[in-house]
Order: sequence, then structure tokens, then C-alpha cells
Amino acid sequence: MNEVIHTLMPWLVLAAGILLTLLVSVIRVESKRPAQISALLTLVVTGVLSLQAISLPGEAIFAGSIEVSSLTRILLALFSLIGILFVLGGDRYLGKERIHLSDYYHLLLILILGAGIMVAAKDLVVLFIALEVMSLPAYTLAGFRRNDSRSNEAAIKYFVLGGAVGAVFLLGSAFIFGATGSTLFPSIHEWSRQSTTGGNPLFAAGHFLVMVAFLFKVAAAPFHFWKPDVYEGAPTPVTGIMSTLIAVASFVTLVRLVHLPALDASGWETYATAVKVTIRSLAVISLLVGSLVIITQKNLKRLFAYSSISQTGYLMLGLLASLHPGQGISPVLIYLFGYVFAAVGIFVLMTQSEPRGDTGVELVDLTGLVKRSPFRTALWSILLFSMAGMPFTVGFFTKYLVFLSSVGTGETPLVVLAALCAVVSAYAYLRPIGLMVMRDADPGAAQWGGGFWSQFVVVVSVIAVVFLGLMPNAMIHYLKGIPLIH
Amino acid sequence: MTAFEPWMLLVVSVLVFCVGLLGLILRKNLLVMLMSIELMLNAVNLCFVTFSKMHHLLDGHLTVLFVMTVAAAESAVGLGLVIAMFRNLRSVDSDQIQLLRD
Repeated sequence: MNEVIHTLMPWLVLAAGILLTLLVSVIRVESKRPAQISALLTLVVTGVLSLQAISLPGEAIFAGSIEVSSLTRILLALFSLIGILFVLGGDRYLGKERIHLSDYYHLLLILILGAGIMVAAKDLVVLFIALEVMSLPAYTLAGFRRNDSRSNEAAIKYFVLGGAVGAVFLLGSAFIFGATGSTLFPSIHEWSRQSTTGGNPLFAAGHFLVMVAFLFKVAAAPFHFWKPDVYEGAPTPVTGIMSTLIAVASFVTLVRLVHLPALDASGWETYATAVKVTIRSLAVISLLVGSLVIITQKNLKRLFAYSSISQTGYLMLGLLASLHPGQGISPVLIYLFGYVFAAVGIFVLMTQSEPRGDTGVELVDLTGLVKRSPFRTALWSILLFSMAGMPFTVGFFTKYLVFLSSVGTGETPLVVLAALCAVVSAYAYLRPIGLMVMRDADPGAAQWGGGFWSQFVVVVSVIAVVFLGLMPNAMIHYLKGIPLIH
Repeated sequence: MTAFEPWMLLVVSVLVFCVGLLGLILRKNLLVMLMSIELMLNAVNLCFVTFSKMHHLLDGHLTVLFVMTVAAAESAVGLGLVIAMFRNLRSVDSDQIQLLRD
């Protein structure tokens, strides 16, 4: 029992921190600081504890339903870091929007705990519970501007879709349970090695249902229609959390679910081809939708919703490559890490524009920013360069690695398409820079102003983007050592 | 007493799931949509229990308890969101929520 407690320490600290945060927010209702400080402390301790244990060997606990490994530890540390950055960076926005409530912080912690368990789950039912623990606070946070009907709408849309996704995932789990007699990942893997029937229809149906559920979660086109609306309506820091934390947790889980059966086992060739064709076509559709529709967007949150759809497309390339024998998952992880740093900076920058009614930040708000705030323009430009995949930023290397792994597995036509899409969508990322530098300020443009902590977070993420862009080897070496799922 | 064959129960559970899914897509009242989600989860519960019986395992029976707990939590959050929307819009009609568009 002691070993279990020791292994799970970061998760337990996080869970205790949720209770502590709830407690202090009930004791001191009139002030938000105690809850904020308690949340920050919890996240710092969680992050440090999981980083400290990172090189320990993986351990399966609770009858194998949860596996704590280097991968789950580093992801929990990443989630804590994202949490810290958004607690610091979202502070001013919440005050401006008059939604600075203590509840925000403990909901955020519950969300992080759910994501942390989800990436460690090795059992379909535990995975379902973790998914709901992550999603329920996310629905609430999306509707946090509760007097604004746009935020209500975003929350309702997210909730209805999330509820349906949860049910579809569960039906898939039930089918897999029916076919294999177990919900544990290792047992299902073992079953697929032994069964030579390959296309067992019950298992195939179940596996496709659980994959579709997570394809909705990561918003791979054509399952993406909810994303722009939810992004636009939710409070900006919450949109940032969805776009980084929830996206990373969901994509990592999708990768595990795709790798659920041993696709290279004999008798599974037809099924493996079907899975590959599905992923390949969804990657193509996501890339096309993401990079073509993004050009027409005027609202920045919608723009980055389509951006994240095309990121899903690039990630699917890495996922497809990982299905080939001998290929690891490291390009996907490296891409996710690189994307997170740029996205955190961008969403925190977005919270710095003064609100104009209830519409989010529009492109017009950026006009003439270089004269009004040259430093902020520089920060915007570096982060947008990274999103567009320009050299000397982390976005370039992460895309390059994904493309490289994809070419290595004979997917050259797909890579050519992806590269073309990157060129097309670069227009959408570079146009805001053009508006900031070349144009005079539009009379309707919003004022910009960030507090110290908000600016601090942006500077930190810009430094991370540039540092990892110039010296990617540190991150690559580290993440390459992390073994694949099983 | 008539004995139910497992496949009959599976057909029922898939049918109930489809009713829930159709209800979610076709109905416009948010409360009915919440009920449809519950219906889908309960259909899956039936499915789990049936498979559990077929395999002579207890796992499925236990899963049902977890799913029911999660379903309760989910409907609590869902009702909260519907109330928040009703306060602003005075309606629980999903056609009323069309502010977010391209």
C-alpha cells in the first residue's frame, strides 16, 4: 500500500489541493487570493513531485488499471505548468470580465486531475471516469461568464457534444468488453495477439466507436464543427486551457486507443489497413479544412480554433507514422510540447485586449499595434511565426520532425499536401503581423494592456519558443527516450 | 418464465442507444436532450450487464455502478448550464442559441 501511495503522490497532492482550494474559498468568500494561492501552490508541488520521480520505472497499480510511467509523469508536470501559467496569466482577464470567483481555481484543478488520470489510465472504464472528471469542470468553465449568452451557448454546445461523446465511448468500451472479456488495455492487447480472426466485427465496432469519440474530442475534421463556437464563447483563458491541456490529454489518449489492439499481429492485416485509411483520410480532411477556412476568419479565437484543427491534422500524420513497426510516438509528443508553449503565449496575449462588449478579440484590434505597443507586437510576431512553422522557432522543428517520420514510412504524398497546407495557412498567421506593422490603428480597435503577471507568462512562453527553436536537441533527446504505450 | 437470449438484450440496448442518439439530434428542447444523453448511458449499462452475464464476469456489473454515478454528476452539471441559459434567454430551446456562427 505504501508503494502505491508513493507512486501516486503527485496525483494525491493534486487531489488534496482541490479540497484545500475548495476549503479556503468557502472560508474566505470575499477574497479570491487565498484560493488562487492555494491552487498555485498545489500545482507547483504537483509539478515538482512528478518531475522529481520522472526517471523512476513505470509501475502498474490498482490491478493494472492505472500505469504511472515517465510519460504520464512528464504529462502531469506539463499539465501543472499549463495550469500555473493560466492561473497567473488569466488573473487580470477574470477581474475585467467580473468573473473572478474562487470556484474558477478549484474547477481548474479538478480538470487537471482528470487529465492527469486520463493519460495514466490503462482501463477503459477508468479512462471513461477520468474523461468525465476532466470534461465536467470544462463545461462549467466554458460557461463561466454566466451573464453572457454567448458563454452559455458555448457551454451548452460543449456539454451536449461531450455527453454524446462520453456515451459513444462507453458503448465502444462495452463492445470491446463483450468481444475480449476485459476492459484492461494489456488484456485486450494480449487477446488481439492470440485471436487470429482479426476482423471480429464486435471488436471492430467497439474500437471504431472509442476512436470516433476521441476524434470528436481532438476535433479532427469532419468532427470539428463544435470547436470554433465553443472557443469563441468560452472565456479566453478557458479557451487557452482547452486548446493546450485538454488537446494534449485527448490526443495522447487517442494515440493509446488507436494502439489498443496489436495491429501488426497476424490475421489483423485487413483491419490495420482499415484503421490506417481512416486516419489518413481524416488527416487530409483536417489539414484542408483547418488551413483553408482559417484564412477567412476575423475573430482571433475562431482563427485559433481552425488553427488547432489543422494542428490535429499534422498530429494525425505522426499518429499514422507510429502505426508502422519500429516507429515511436516521440514526434507526436514533441509536436504537442512545442505547440503548447506557443499556444499558451497566444491565448494569454489575447486576454490583454480590453473588452469591447462581448465579442472576443477581432483582427481589427491588432491594427497599428506596433505604434501603440512595440514590445507586445514583437511578442505576437514571434508566437505567430512559431504557429506558422517559421525557422528558428519551435514550430519549425516540430513540424519538420513529424514530416520526417511520415516520409520515413512512405507517406510522401500526404507530407507534400501537409507542407502545402502549411504554406497556405501561413498567410493566416502572417496577416495579423501585417496588420500590426503596416496599418494605422483602426478607430474601432481595442486598447491593449496587460498586468505584470500576464506579460510575464507571455515572455516566458516566447523564451521557451525561441529557446526550443534554437536548441531543440534538449527536448528531442529527452522525449525520444520515452517508450511507446505498451 | 421466459428466458431471454443475450442477443435479444443486446439488440434492445443498441436500439435504446439509437433512440437516445436520435433524440439528441432531432429534439430541440434542451431538457429532452439531457434525457436523451441519460438514455444513451443507460442503454450502455444494459449492454455491459449482458456481456458480463455472457462471460460470467463481475466487471460489467461493477462498471454499471460507476456509469450511474458519472451520469448523475453529468446531469447535475447539465441542468446547471441549462438554468444559466434560461436566466439569460428565457428559453430552453436549442434553436434559440445561434449567436456563435461563422
